Amino acid sequence: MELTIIAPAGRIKRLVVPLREAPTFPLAILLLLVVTALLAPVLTPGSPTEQDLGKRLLPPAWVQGGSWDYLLGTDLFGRDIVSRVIYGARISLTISLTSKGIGAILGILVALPAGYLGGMVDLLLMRAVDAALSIPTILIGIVLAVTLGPSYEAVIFVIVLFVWPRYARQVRGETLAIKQRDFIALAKIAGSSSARIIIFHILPNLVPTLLVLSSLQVGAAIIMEATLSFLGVGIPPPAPAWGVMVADGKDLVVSAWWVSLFPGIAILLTVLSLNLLGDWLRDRLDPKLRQV
Amino acid sequence: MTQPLLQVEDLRTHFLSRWGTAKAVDGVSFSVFPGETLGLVGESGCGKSVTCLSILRLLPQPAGKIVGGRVLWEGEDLLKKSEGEMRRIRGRCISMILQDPMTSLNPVFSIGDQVAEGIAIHQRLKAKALWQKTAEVLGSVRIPSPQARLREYPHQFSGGMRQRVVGAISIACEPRLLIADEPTTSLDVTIQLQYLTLLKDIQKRTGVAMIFVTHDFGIVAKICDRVAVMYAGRIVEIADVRDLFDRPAHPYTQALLDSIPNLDEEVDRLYSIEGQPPALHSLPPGCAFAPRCSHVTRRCGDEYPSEVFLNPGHMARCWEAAQ
Repeated sequence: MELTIIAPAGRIKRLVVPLREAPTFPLAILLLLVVTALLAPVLTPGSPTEQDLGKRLLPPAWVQGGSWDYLLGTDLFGRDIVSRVIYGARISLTISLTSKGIGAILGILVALPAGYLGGMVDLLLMRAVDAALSIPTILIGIVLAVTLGPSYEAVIFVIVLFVWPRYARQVRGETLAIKQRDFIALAKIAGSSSARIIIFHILPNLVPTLLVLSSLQVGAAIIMEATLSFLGVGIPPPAPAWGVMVADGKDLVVSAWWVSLFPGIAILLTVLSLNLLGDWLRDRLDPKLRQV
Repeated sequence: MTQPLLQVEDLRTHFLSRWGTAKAVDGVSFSVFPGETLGLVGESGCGKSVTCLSILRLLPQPAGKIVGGRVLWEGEDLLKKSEGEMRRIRGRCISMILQDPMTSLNPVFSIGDQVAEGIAIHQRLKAKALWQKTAEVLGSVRIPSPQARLREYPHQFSGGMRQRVVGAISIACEPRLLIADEPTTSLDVTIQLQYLTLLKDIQKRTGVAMIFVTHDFGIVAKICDRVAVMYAGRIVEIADVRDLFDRPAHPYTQALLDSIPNLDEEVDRLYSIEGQPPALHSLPPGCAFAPRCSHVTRRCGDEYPSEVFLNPGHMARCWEAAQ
């Protein structure tokens, strides 16, 4: 198959410009998150895993008894909470982005042929999707952790299991709508094969949907990871995952509220920002609004 | 007489639905000769578009099915070709222009990419030669400064210009038959004339044959050499365009011609054909037009009329025309 897509100069510019109109709050939060995750070793005052039992459960700096060495206090093992929250961003981002990426690719691979070819292919693939949607993912996560022990791979596997059928459904629906449009007919009239139509005519038209879906699904993936970690079947303990940290503090909520509060806020802000950004993208990329 | 380019013989296309089988095309036969324009006229839903899509084997799946007949392209039956062979015929031998220019172009690709696509599928050209050829094709449909406009996107074009781009895509590989499915219906009147002139010029230059689907007799008079009138999935009359206007033999054709408003006369009410075309899944055994026909006889309801030739090129399916 020959590629005949010659990139026009303006294409990249058109992608960047709308970002200026993006809502600042979620964008700032997410930028901060990415930067801190990337620069974690530079930014953190201490190690996220180093224990110092002499300094257990120190409160945040502005509370009586707190110390400026430990801005957000320490946990049950004397570990610095600031450092753990910052390193936690790394874990949350890598886990959610990888698993979402794998899930998205899997979902798209299933949905495109199902939606475009229809018939028996559609029937079989979409029943598989229905089956996948009915799997209780958390339960699978627990079973995996109990039988094989908690691991990064297990968490990613479980999130992929959760994410891909959702992608498949949405993408298939969108594919069904796009394939009815006249330019697909015109491509067929010009002699395009099915593969060519799927890759060059349908996939590029799915980009808006995928962008919206991705920003929402990353949020869902982060929650999933945190949930699994909270239940003790996610990221194995010494690693500073936000979910693990919230779980660490769950018995101390009354006496040492800071142990679970700050990772909780991190989860909240991240997911909220992703959802806000997703909502904005959906409005922005809606073809009905776009034409105005 | 020259060999026909395309010969459709007793084509039958049915749509299977919950309510039964809709015989959208029910035994259609006609030929298209090199360089001529055949008009295909009739009310909405009489099978014009389905006939065209059947020729290209691009019926909506899985509902549409070609259940019988032959479509001979230079003597070879297209209905027996594999999907891969059909792909080599589409675009290069037979091409089509769709009705609505607003949805016929892919919004995410530049005009140049879209015109180039068809050329790239059928001809091996290097990027530069391809771009050159694309600009040429775009120029041939009278897009001003084609080189510059290649990089623009569909939304930057007006409706008339988009339809010319669609035309460019269709003629890019120099097909010998162009099926135009109401290409001017969604254009405004001044642009319509421009577009028809353009198609005529392209035909003069390249000798492409055309099947022109329309329900506008003004367009038929202007552009067609021969006309086939369709009703309820069948061709009821086929004739040279002069013959058809001067001596319409089928009552349906007469009624259609009478429906054209006449500017010279003052009338209180415009003429219209009473009733609706029949539902395609429950066609009467006899002539489908009988319930609306003013010349109806007992025989019409029982027996479908056979072909009546008024002269070698003028056929009508009507018992009355035989008298």
